[in-house]
Amino acid sequence: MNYSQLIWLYRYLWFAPHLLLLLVAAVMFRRKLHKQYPIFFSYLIFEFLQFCVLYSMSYLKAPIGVYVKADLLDRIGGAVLHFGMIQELFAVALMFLGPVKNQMTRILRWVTIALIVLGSLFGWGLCYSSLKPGAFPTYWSIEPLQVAICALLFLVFLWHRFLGIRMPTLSFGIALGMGLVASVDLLLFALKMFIVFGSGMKYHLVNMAAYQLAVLIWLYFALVPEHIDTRSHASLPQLRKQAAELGRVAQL
Amino acid sequence: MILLIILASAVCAFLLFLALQVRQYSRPVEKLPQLIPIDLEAFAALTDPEEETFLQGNLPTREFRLVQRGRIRALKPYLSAFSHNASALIVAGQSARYHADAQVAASGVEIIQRAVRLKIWCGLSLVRLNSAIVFPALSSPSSEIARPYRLLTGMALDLTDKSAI
Repeated sequence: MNYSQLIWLYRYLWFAPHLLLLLVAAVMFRRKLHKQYPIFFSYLIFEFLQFCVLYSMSYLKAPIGVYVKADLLDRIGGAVLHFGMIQELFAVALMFLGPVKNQMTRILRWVTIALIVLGSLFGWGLCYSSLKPGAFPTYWSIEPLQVAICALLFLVFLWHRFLGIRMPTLSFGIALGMGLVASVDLLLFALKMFIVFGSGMKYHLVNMAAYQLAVLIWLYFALVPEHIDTRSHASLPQLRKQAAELGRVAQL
Repeated sequence: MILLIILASAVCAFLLFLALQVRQYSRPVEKLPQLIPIDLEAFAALTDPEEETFLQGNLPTREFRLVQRGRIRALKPYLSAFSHNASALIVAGQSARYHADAQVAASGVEIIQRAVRLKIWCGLSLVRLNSAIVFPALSSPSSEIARPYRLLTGMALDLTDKSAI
């Protein structure tokens, strides 16, 4: 693939996902999912607006320093919203906890902080030991957040698995898309120390392709109707039997 | 370099984990999990604090530790069975949540709430049991388990009454 083809691919991968984000937001709005996932909905709008700002700056040939600052702001804003989105994913499972919900939410908040701290320590460890400090020092501050995001998403899946609760369709899609973007970003971050990516465009292209795939995943899961498990047909007699069974099991 | 290799391996493992999640999510579930019958009298005997005190008073320390470890190991399958039953009830409750009858839907949510708490309780108790295996004399599993279990009994009976209305 020659340079001009790469440029076209780059432009496509820059434009397409951001336009698709609007489509995801529209589908969510039509299906009233924005009420259930307000932070994810805000993220979609935020990313689209940031794209408009960054594209305008690029088109108007803004100074590179200003552009980098705006890009960094976009990434930090996106990362913060990602943590909010993960809280939303947990909230769906936590709503079943009733009285212990607040305790679990508090524990979850501390776990998040601990993971960010651990991720930061890991990131700084990388920067000041084996890597070349000074290459992309500004962007390296984002990577520890990606480590924390991956760890938290792992916990989201484990938590649902432990409880035996099926994740709502869109929750699953959000977690999958976020996990894909964060893990590809981290993998590339690690691989670029071993593999030469040339001008860096190929590195960005892989990252952008992962994001494009994530947006398509979000779109798919926003369109798919919620899976309703009707295995027990939810009959009252069966529920009585199940509850009575629990009583029998629990009776000393 | 070592940190980089750790990072790359962890990320690859996470990507594999995501792929497994997709496979599991798209796979249809065959049938409703069945409840496991539990011998409650045996469980009560194993978690009886008086029996533990009796054993502690009548056996040499070394022998008591051995017996106590055996009792703790015997408790583990019971807790696994409780945990399994809680999962079965969560599945039943999830189905009920979407039922057209509001009463059934409300019962479903209540069953989920209680079963989730039972599940968490089982998880925590398993952690306690594992620590009790290491220090059988210091951490008494009987008294640790009996108290929350009595609470659970009340919860479960209350649930039975409500869903029978």
